[in-house]
Amino acid sequence: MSFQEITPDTSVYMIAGFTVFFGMMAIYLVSLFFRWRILKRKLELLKNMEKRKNS
Amino acid sequence: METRPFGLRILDAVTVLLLIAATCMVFFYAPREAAMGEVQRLFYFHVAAAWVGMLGFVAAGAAGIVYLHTQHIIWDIIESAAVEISLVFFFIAILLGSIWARPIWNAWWTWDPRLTTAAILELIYIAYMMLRQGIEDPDRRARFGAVYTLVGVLSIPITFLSIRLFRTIHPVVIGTASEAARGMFGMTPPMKQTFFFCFFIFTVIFADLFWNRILLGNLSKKIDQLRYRLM
Repeated sequence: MSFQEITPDTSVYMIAGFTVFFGMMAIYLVSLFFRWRILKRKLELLKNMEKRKNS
Repeated sequence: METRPFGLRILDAVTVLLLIAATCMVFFYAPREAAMGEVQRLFYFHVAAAWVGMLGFVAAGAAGIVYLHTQHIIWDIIESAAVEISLVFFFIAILLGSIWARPIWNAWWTWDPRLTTAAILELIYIAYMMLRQGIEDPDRRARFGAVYTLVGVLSIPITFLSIRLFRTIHPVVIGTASEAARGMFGMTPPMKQTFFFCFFIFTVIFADLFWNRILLGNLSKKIDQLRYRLM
């Protein structure tokens, strides 16, 4: 009889964990990208309005 | 048109490459842990994400002190940037810990001192973000944020030391000689190298995101000023 422990198969949890990590990072990066784009558009619009106002 | 600095673009690229390297180390260099199996690999990212989370909350507290001293709005931008990034990383750390706990403790969550203090810490800073939204005057918002982060930072040592001060099932991996406190975590040299490499990489990721987020805050401030001039 062997008393050696068998390593449990926990690979499903590992895959779930790394999916959560990369998924969360991707969501945050996408949110940064879209916020950056929206703000840049707003800035352009306001700059044009200022130009029109001054001319 | 606002553009991102060249240095930041370089840092973005380096960060991506380093994250790929860290992921490869976790999967191919660090050996499989015998007692826990593959799920133990989450530990490298879990601890590193928690570290970055706490680093940002401390940075926010420091920025709060500087803001109260100088009254310069840039410190408010830095402070809110640090809190936002830390919230993401600390939430990731909590989720990874919970996923790791399911096969090891046979529970997704227990009201253990470490888990409870970590959840409270996350909620304190979620409340910070929500309360900031409710204040329109930028100076009042900045003052409130500075004082809040100064008080909030007190929860960092409580969370960090909770596994050392109280009886807990959460393993103490660093800075303990006790076998019992370490739980099943005995690290071989390749595991230690992967662990410290991930620590370093996550710090670089934090620096990169922090820079990006500060630029975003600056852009937002510029828009507010322009809008004010046009009114």
